[in-house]
Amino acid sequence: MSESVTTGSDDDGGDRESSPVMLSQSFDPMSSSSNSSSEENSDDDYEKTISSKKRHPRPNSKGVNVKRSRRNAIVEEDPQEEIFNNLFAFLLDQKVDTMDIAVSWFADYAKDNQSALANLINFILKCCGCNRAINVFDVQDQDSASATLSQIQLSVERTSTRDYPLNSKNLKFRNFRKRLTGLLSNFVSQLSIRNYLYNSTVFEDIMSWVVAMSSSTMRPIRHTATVFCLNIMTFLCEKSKELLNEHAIATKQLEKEEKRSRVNRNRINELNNSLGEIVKQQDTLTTYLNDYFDSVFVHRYRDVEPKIRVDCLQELGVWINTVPSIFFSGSYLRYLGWMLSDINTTVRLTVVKVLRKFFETDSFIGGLRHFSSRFKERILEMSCVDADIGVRVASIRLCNAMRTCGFLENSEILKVLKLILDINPRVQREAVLFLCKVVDESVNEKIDLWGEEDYILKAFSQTSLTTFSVHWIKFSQMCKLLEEVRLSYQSSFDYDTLLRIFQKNGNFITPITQALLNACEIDSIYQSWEDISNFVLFDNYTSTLKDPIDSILSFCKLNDFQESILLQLLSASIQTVCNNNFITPKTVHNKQAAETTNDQNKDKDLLYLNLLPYINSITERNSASPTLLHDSLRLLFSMDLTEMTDPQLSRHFELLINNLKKFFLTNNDLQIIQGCTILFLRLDSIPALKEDLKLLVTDICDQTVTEFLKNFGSFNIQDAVITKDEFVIFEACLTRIEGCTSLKDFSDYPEFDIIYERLVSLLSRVPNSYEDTLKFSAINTLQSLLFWFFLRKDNPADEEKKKDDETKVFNCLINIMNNDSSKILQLQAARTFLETVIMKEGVKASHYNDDNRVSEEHNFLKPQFLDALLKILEGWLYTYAKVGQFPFKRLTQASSPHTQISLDKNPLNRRLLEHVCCDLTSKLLIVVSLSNTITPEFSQQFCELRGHYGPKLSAIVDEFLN
Amino acid sequence: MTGLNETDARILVTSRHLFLWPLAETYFKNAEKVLQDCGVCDSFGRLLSTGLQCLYSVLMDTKMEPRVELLTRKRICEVLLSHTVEYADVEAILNRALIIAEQHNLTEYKFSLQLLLSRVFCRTSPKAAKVLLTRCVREAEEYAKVAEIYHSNNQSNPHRWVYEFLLATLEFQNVSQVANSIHNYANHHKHQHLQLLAMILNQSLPMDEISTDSDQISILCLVTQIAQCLRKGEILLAREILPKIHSKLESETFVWPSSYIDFFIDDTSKISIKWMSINQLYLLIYLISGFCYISDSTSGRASRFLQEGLRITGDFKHQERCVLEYLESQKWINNITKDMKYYLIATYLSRSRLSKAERILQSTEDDQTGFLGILKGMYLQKRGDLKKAEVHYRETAKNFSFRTDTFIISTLNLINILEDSAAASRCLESIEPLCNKHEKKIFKLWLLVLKVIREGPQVHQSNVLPRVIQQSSEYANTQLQYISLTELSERFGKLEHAEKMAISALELAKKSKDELWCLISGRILEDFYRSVQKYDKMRQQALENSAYSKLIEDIYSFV
Repeated sequence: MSESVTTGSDDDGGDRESSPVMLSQSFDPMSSSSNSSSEENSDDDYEKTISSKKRHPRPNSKGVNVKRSRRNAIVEEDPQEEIFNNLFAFLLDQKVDTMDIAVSWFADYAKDNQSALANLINFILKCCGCNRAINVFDVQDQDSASATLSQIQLSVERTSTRDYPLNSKNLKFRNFRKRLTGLLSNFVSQLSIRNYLYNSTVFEDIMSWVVAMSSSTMRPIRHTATVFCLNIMTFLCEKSKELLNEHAIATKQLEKEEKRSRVNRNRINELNNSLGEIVKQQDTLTTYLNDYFDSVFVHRYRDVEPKIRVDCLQELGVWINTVPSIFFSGSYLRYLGWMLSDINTTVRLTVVKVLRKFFETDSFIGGLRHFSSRFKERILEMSCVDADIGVRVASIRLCNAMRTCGFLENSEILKVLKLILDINPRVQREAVLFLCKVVDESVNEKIDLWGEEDYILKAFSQTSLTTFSVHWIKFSQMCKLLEEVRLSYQSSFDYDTLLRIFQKNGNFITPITQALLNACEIDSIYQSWEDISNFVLFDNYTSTLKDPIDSILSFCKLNDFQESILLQLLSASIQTVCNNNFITPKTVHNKQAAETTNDQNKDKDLLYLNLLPYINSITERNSASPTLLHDSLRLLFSMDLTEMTDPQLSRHFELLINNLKKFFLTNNDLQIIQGCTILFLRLDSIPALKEDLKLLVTDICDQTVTEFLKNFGSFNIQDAVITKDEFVIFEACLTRIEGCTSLKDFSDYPEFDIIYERLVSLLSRVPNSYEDTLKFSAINTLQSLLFWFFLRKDNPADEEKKKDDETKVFNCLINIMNNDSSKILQLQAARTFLETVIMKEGVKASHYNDDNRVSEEHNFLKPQFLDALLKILEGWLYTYAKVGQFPFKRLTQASSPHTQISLDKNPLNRRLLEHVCCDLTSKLLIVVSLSNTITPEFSQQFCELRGHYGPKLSAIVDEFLN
Repeated sequence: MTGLNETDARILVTSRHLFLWPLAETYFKNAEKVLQDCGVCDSFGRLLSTGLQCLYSVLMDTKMEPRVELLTRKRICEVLLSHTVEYADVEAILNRALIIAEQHNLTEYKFSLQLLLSRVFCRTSPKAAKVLLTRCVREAEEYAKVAEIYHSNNQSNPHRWVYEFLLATLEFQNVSQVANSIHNYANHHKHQHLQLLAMILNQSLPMDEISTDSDQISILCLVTQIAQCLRKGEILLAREILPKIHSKLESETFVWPSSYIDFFIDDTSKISIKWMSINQLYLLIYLISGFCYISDSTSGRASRFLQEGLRITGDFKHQERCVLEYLESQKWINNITKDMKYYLIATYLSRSRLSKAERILQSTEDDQTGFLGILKGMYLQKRGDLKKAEVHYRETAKNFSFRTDTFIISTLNLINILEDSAAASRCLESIEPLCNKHEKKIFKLWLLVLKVIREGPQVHQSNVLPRVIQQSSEYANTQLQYISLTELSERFGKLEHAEKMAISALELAKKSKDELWCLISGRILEDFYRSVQKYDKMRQQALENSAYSKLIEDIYSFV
């Protein structure tokens, strides 16, 4: 076999304990992966190393002086002149068929084999972007191939270019690779047809040059030659596969012939000879494949050029699929396993895609268990923390294929399922797809255990459980799995408090809900909101002493947490159905669009008419459980209430409103009260309900004010000790007053001053983390009161009073921002301060045009205020950096250390903290812009944030800077 | 190769398997003999290794036919799986063989290889085994459909592989599920033998006599029927079946060719299932026989069966032909020996053979079933050491609460000796739901009796006790009979029935050598005679009671 050009420290293909290029274990998942083009590696070090070890060419024993003089002539040739090669020209000519090119070469070879061979080698050199040529004398001695190539390489190095056909963007090379592949396919085919592959040395002669080139220190030559060799091996594999089929056919024919009662000896001998020939050819191909694998692949799969590595691994995947009898074994799979840790993204992605095909091939399952046990940890790691999103997504798909084969344990499946809460939407969606597959598989197992779907339906049809659906099993399994995923992340008080702040407007979608929305898009069964509703309302779990009914009902019975997830599934289902069914096609003609709109309106009314009674029933059923009731109310958040105009809905709305009133006034759970408030605000947009709702809100507010005065009227807020029981009462009362101030203008109330004073006093209490929730409500209530203030067009006599009130509130907020020990309360105070300023500026724009007043309002953003805000923002960025594992970037010069709140490093917390930081940053930048206090130092501070905390925050900063 | 032409020489070279295969099998057979004679030893390993080397030598031939390679690899895997735990090697060899089968469309061979692969996966990756077998069942069903259409006569019954794969799923599926699958498939294709197999696996055989030409299947069916009866506590019915087994075993025409039982799909195709050797069968029959009569404390039949079974365990000869089966058989014999000891102890205790029971107890090691704890408690209770007995019962109930049978038995015994009525009532309440739901009705009967006893003779329970007495006869539980009769006679007072019941109870207790209950029932009889002024009978009974009292005092003096 031919020798390599160089004799470096290449591995001989033995078993390896470690991968050739180790991937760093401390990847930053938030940073974007660098492009392959930016990873163009310099060949200088490699070439220097190779050059220092280069052998001197062996002296030619023949001593032909003419050859030496001709080699010298090659070097002396004018390098600028373009050397013509007919094969290369034909290849670039799109009109010439590649088969014709191959056939013409063989015709030339039949006439003059040496010239044809030299022409072919020159063709290969042209494909390498090498403007050099050899002559017939060089191909006469195959042993001199390495020496000849060395000389060519030396002459080309001085004029080398990085642009060569395989990676060129020149238009004339746009189909180069595709046509080259076709040409090589036809070439190998012709070699086989003409028996040159088995009975001639021409193939070996050609390959000796190709193998020598594949070890060149020049990248264009090395890459192109490697591609030649890999493609040729691919086509040899295809030929080997054909021979295997022929072998099988001949074997069967021989068996049949031998079993005949009247044996045909001639036919048997003929078949035996045919079999012998096939076996011989198979052996020849197998020898070729093994030799070229050892000569080329073993070295090039570790090449410094990522493209070469990618090509090697892609072709290895093809070989394994084509000829598994040769390549599907641990000896070859391990190369793929090692390259899972390659530093290049494209290489890793290629390996993952190749492996997924293997795991999706049923016949390969027997040979993949050992590979799985060895490399699945790495694959799971790639799914969870790889730097490139594309690789992560592909790895999750690979994990799904591995799971389908049974190679993932339950704990490993859970690791992937956790990714449904990942911060990246693509990863989320792929993980949800994985989740749906897991659920389907589990459900099918359960149904098989209980006796198939038809049997189950028949059993239930004989009972009084008429609302039962087999899909309940699926919904139940989904809820149980999501519970397991959710509980794997430890929830903390700080997380819950932050979540409450940002759920205030009802538009915040929880990660679980987002996952379920994705599931609804993936599997239409989850859009069956009627089935889900019936499942939610079902409560007849008493034993019927009938199997499998009891087993199924026992399985479908959910605990509170699981029911909460089920309600979120129902919410996602409703959202998906509404979004999917009521989107007007853009291409529809106007008239048709009008008709479609009318039909959709009718469908929508019908949907709401069917849906609202279910929701009323669900809320009534779950009224005893605060958590479930909150999730039930959130079902209404999924619906566009302004679209509900059907008169038949009024009865259901009346019931809903009465229920909401009852929940608001009697329930002490903060989330319930907030939910009712949001729904009242939304229901107010329905014209038919305005009058009734107005009366109801007035009644609610009156009762709430009475309650507030009863609790706080004579209570020494600033100094008194609040007991546990009092705390619960106060918390609920303040939450209700917060809701009422959102619903109605309180400035007309005679008790307004007392309420205002009490709330300000509450904010002035000594900081106590136990009472933070009381201050949250107080802050929000004061904000609402100020909002109503700003909206009123008062006479000038009230301006002074308004200013005094504003000053009191702002002073309290500043005091909290500077002095309170609760960082979450500081955050809330900062957000309220910023929102109030933004709100005031917005109201002012519609009320005042006096420039003097504008200048007066800027006094609110005093330097000490700005410093306090920046300090708070920096603290949250510090926490976000810790949780998200980013490098922390300071905003201020303050030397005091930052303390991190108690949030674990998991995707849930990272998502929430991202939201917090983006919200706070955007509001701060808006206020600074409005106040016209931007300084170069300030801009510089925020400019440095770009790229450090993820794309969302960077986008906000970019918008500000622009 | 002097004198051989090129063609003959080539044939000889490429046909080396014709020589090496038989040679390898010779080594394997000799290894099996060594295994049966000496167990796992060095010579066995050497013989096995040499045989494998012969097969590996066949694989060295690069010109062998694909079928030869496939069969050689298959045989290597079978040997490795039977005698070693070299699963990685088996996987690699099987992988190549599967590829060959796939390439050459050798479907039957592919199925057999997949079956071997599933055995590997069952040990290395159970989930993968489940996936593999699920796919294989589906493939085999499709293959069977196609084969039926084309009526291929050159191959074995195509349905065979469906059954093979279904049976292989027993490794990770419960028996009833697998049995149902087999039953459905066999019922659809009218494979009667396989329907029978499904019923055996599901333990749902009808109690009628099963007509079959195979002695092995006949014995298997009878044993299954007995197991069904014992599971429900129907001892009398089990005793009726037992003579049929004995008769079959003693028959001159009885044949037990091997440990494998064949279930025929058609006249030629069959499924062979490993059950047990003839030696194992005799041990099992002795155990079953002893168990059937263990509740009959009036005779020593149970102890005789169990003693004989224990005796022949010492002479047990292994007939297994592979290491894994040998190890499994050894484990089986250890377990059955332990079971026989336990039941023998129980038999001795029920007949007050305390010295014999003590001797076996001292030589018995602790187990993981909790049954030994109950036996120790029973022994101490018989000796009159109620406090220590209570400790054993409580510990057993606490430590083995997850085993329903053990928990119920230990708690019932505990209730029987508790002096604290409140504690006894709490125990009764704790096990009442379990007894009511349990398949063995005997537990419920015992519960009822204990409740009646605890309520005292003042409460006239005219319905419960007669029902218990009747059902205890059906379940052939002698102890339950005489205890119930004693309690019922006490409640009848001066009625004539009281005498009859007391006499019956006394007779049963005498036969069971239960001195304590002899004394109790004797005193009831004595009181009855006094109440009806039959003073001669009263004095005679008083003398007997005095003797029993003396015996009991002697027993308690050792405490």
